[in-house]
Amino acid sequence: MNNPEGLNRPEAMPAPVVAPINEVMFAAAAEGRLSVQRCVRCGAHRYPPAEGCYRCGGLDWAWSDLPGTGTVYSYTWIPDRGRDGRLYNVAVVDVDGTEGDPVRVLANVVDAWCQGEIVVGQRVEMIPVPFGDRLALPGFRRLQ
Amino acid sequence: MTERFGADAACVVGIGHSEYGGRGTLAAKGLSRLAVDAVRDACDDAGLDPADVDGFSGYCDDPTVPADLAVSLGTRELRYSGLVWGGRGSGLPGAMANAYMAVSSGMARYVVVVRSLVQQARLGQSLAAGVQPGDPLPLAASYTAPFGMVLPAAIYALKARRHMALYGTSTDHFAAVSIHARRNAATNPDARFRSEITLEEHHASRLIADPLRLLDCCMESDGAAAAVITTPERARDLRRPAVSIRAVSMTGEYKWATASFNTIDEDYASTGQRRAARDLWVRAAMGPDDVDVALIYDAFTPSVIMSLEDWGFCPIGEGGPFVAEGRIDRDGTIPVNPHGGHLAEVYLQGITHLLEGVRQLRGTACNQIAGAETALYASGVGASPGGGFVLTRM
Ligand SMILES: [Zn+2]
Repeated sequence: MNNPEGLNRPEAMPAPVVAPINEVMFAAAAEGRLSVQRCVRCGAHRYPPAEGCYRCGGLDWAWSDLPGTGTVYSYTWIPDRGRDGRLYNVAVVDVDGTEGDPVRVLANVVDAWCQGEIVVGQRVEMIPVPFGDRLALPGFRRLQ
Repeated sequence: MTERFGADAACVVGIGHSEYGGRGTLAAKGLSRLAVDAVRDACDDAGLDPADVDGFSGYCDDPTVPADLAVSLGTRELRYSGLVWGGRGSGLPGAMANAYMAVSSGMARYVVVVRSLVQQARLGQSLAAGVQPGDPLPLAASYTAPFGMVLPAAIYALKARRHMALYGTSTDHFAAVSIHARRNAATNPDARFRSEITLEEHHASRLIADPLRLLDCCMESDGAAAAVITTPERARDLRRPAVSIRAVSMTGEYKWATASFNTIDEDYASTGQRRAARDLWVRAAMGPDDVDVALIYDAFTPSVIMSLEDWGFCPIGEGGPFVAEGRIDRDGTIPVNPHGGHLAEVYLQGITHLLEGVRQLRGTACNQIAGAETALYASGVGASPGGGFVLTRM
């Protein structure tokens, strides 16, 4: 996918497959909202999208907006073949405001450019990484 | 469920392998020929006519089709074939379990566990398990690949970084695993990487996925290896003393899908195999203290450190110092991968560790652990379920 200017994103990565089970989430991300599935029966949030609830087995779910903030659980830095080895990061973010097991979202912290600019425990908030027609991947930027 | 396990119901009677080479170097030979070479070598080792093989057990989505192998081997009765799903290397315990169940239940007499690999498809550059650049992206990879979460090394990198944050594990500890592997391989004539390395060389090698560098990673390889599995009764008529499969266990990392980033804490900074370890020690009626040699999946160095913890060789969080203190050396508390493992011998997704376990228990290994009577195989991270098995001298 083509990347917006000024965000630290890997080049030439495939766009996600947009499907009924994830389209609303990508549309919400484009409006700056982090939306994940929530079980109608027991209230547990979950990500990535899945057909059934890990906690109660319920098959009915709805989209649920979260605050969009979270904490870096782990991360890695990878040289980008498409940008002469410039580093991008992949972070696993434990997101705030969920019910049930912790919900983690894997994404890029797009305002971090160098090793040392992310640590485990770093607070972050979601920002959109646009693609396609009014859709976006969730990205994150650092909070103080 | 564990207390009813029927232990020692199958054994390994022959092992073999094709030639080994670097990525793509054996492409002209092809997957099928490499597999046939390995199976024939294993049958020869067992003293078994290859035409008597009546079952095949594969893993890692292996495209080497048993029906094709059967033609080239002259198999008259193809009674069993089974494949473990999942495009990464942790499926070997599942393949062992399938062979174990097939022969012990009477479904087949001689089942070959085989893995054949030609890395024209580059596993090191895959977008997801089994997905190469240019292939259509599977829906399930939509939450990883668009973010550049595509390298197998990155799965271990995220786990390793979490392990470092929780326990103070360091890149010096990862380096110690690699230095250890190369030292063992120096005296293994089959090994692809027989030169020793230093801490400085490790730290100077290029970054792959922080905190992992090139010398934390196995090197893509071509080749095939195989083992013949049968019952203890049939084993008595064969050439070699059999090595018993005491027990096998498997576990799925909880919520493993899409590269594990939503697994529970216990499974995250680990190989996810602690429940498989619990089951295996019950089924085998033994514990880590009873193991003489450990064959640990080591596609990436953190796998060894985490496996030592998960299978109970050291307390959780102490795997790094355990390795750095030499406790996994050939004269240490628990010798690990005396052949050099995937980091230094060859990368064939676990099966070469099985071969080394059999050699150690036969007393024929190049770096023989004196008096070795029990061996553990631990699968590391990859496809789910992974797991492990115990081999014992009969
Ligand atoms: Zn529920």
